[in-house]
Amino acid sequence: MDLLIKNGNLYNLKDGKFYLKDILINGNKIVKVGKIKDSVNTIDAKRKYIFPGFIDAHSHIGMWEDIEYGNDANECVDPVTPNIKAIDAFNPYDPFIKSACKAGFSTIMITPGSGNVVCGQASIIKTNIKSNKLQLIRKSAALKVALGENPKSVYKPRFKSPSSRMGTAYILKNYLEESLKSIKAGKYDNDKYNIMEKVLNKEIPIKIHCHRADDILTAIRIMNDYDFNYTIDHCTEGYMVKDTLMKVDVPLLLGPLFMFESKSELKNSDYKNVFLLNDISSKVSLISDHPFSNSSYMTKILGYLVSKGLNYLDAIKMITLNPAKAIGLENEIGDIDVGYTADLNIFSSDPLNYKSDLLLSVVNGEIEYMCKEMVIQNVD
Amino acid sequence: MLIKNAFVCDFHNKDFLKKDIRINKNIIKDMDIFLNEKDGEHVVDLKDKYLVPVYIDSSTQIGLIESGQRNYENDTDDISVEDMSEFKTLDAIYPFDKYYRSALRNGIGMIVTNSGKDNVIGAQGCALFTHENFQVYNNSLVLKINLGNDTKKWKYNQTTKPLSRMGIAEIVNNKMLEFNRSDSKLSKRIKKKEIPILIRANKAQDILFAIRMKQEYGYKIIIEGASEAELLIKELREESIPLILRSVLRIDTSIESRRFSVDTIVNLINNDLQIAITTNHPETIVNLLPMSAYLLMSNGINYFDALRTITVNPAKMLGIKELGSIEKGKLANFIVYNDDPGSIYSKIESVYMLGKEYKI
Repeated sequence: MDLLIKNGNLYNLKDGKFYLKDILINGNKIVKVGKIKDSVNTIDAKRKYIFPGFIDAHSHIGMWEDIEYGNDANECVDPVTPNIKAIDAFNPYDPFIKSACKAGFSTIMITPGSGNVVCGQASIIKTNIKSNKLQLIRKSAALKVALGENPKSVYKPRFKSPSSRMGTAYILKNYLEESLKSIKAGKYDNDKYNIMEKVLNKEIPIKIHCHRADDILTAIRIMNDYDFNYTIDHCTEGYMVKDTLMKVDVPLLLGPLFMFESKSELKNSDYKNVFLLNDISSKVSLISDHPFSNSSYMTKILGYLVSKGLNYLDAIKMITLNPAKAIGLENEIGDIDVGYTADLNIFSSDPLNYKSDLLLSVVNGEIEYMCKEMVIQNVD
Repeated sequence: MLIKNAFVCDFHNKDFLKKDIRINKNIIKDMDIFLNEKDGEHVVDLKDKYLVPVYIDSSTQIGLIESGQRNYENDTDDISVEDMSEFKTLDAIYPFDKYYRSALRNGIGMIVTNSGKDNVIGAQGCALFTHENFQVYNNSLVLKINLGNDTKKWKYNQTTKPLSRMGIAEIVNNKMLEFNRSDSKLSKRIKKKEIPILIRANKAQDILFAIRMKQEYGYKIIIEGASEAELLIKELREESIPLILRSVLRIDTSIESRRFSVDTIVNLINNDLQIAITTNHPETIVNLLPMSAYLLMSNGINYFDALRTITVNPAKMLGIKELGSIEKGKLANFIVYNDDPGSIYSKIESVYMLGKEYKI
């Protein structure tokens, strides 16, 4: 089915200006952007504002509920669990997915928690759940690993390793070495290492959970020995080591912001981290880390940062282009252009401001949400 | 001091009206469209800037839980005793907690600190101003009572009372009867309705119990949490019970709270219930109180109704008579915005606390 969105103000991620454009969608792709003749299904977006579908590159949405036998995001039986997959814990009927969609998010990377050193595989999902199909676009989209307090806090009380940061680094290095050896030897019997083949071929990144500056440096030190793609997730004390981060120039996934410092590795968290890292890197994204912050209001958090001096275009990039690159889908999502997946939002006004209504959201070519005042005209 | 040419928030007209304000000591002495300057009077021309009352965070644990610690050495609860009603949160507050400062920078002029959610009979909460360290407004503002799962002793692997809602109810009923009989200072104030009882109740049966309690004893009550209040709108309205609701920025999927969403708040406001919004700091940090209220605007609530939830309404329900709005006779505590406070991009330029300006 074709869908034509006419006369909307389309936000341009190159210069940060709005341009009057028509957008033609066919299937789940954008096939034309510009001046387009009316087609069968047309939506008038006059005086409305169109933004790409937003991307949350680190979330536990659908996996993390406060229930009796614990959340489903951690499998803390062994510090190395590379084969567990976020998608296997994912409940597409979690109401927060719908509210994330209503806030403009169309793509979410869900990831195992950080209780283990090698935590498991992150997956990428779309938020168009209306059709009752699980909208999975990548089952294994990243290998998540964790440094710092979390693995220690799980295994130290059990008198197991890792009980220190030394142990955590050793376990991670050992896993990388053993898996490379195994792959080199062509041994595929131990599937513990198979996921590393994708990492080695740079098909997927390693996603490294680290908050404290020393953990960030440890991550970089370990990764410097290899030629992998990797992202630094949370990066809470990144501003303290920004010169090193500038040199390695990897995606930095910041967040959750404005969270109470509930553990000691968060005690130096400061929202100014976003400004300082944005000055030295063009790869900064904002993440929700659901349930630790609410993706439904991430746009407002960005608005708050803009009010404190963040550049508006940079703010929008933090939930569009930059996370698209970080999760390896920069040619598919994050912008509105020919060939991209049809993920877009129509807002009544600036989505970062308090008073702004989502009028229509298209996810993966499907109209996932449409308010009453929008109508599809059939020009036959 | 005379403040000239400010757009002052007016709840009656739901508008910002251009006014001059005369402040004497720390009180708003006079307010009108035009006030003449007196000899030697200090005049501040605010040049069309916007004034809103300082925000009030109505139920937090600031000062009781220190930041940057995993297993908090916190002072929120005392499960070794069954009854904390003679305890005061003021005695546990760490006055140099950094969040008092950041609260002021975000326009929050008063913070209520209550005890936690583990004791059925909680402590007396206090209210502090945020402009200087330890500026106590009231050391016994509310008495906290907790209902629901968090108070059950199973949590501590104990088999002492309470283990069920029936046990919780018995403890509360006994305490209410004791207030009725006793002549202690606290009992007298509760009977005179000088101090409200703040009841944390999320599930419908807990809210119903709180309503029955009010009907039986006639004390002044406020319900906090109230996640399932939507199911009991009629009952709550009949008893005109005010509600303190949590910020929707915080995700809480526990069995007691999962029915709560932004639509709950909107529905309750549209049904004319008296609503305050709190961060429950540290659940949401206190800095985000204004955002927690103003984001209701994208769900069809107008600016002034959103503002009420963090100013007039908490002031009224908690008996903070001197705050909540900018009016003659109130304390000169207000926020100066460079532009429309209903826009996220407007900046707080300064906060006046007790008539004194604090630049932000």
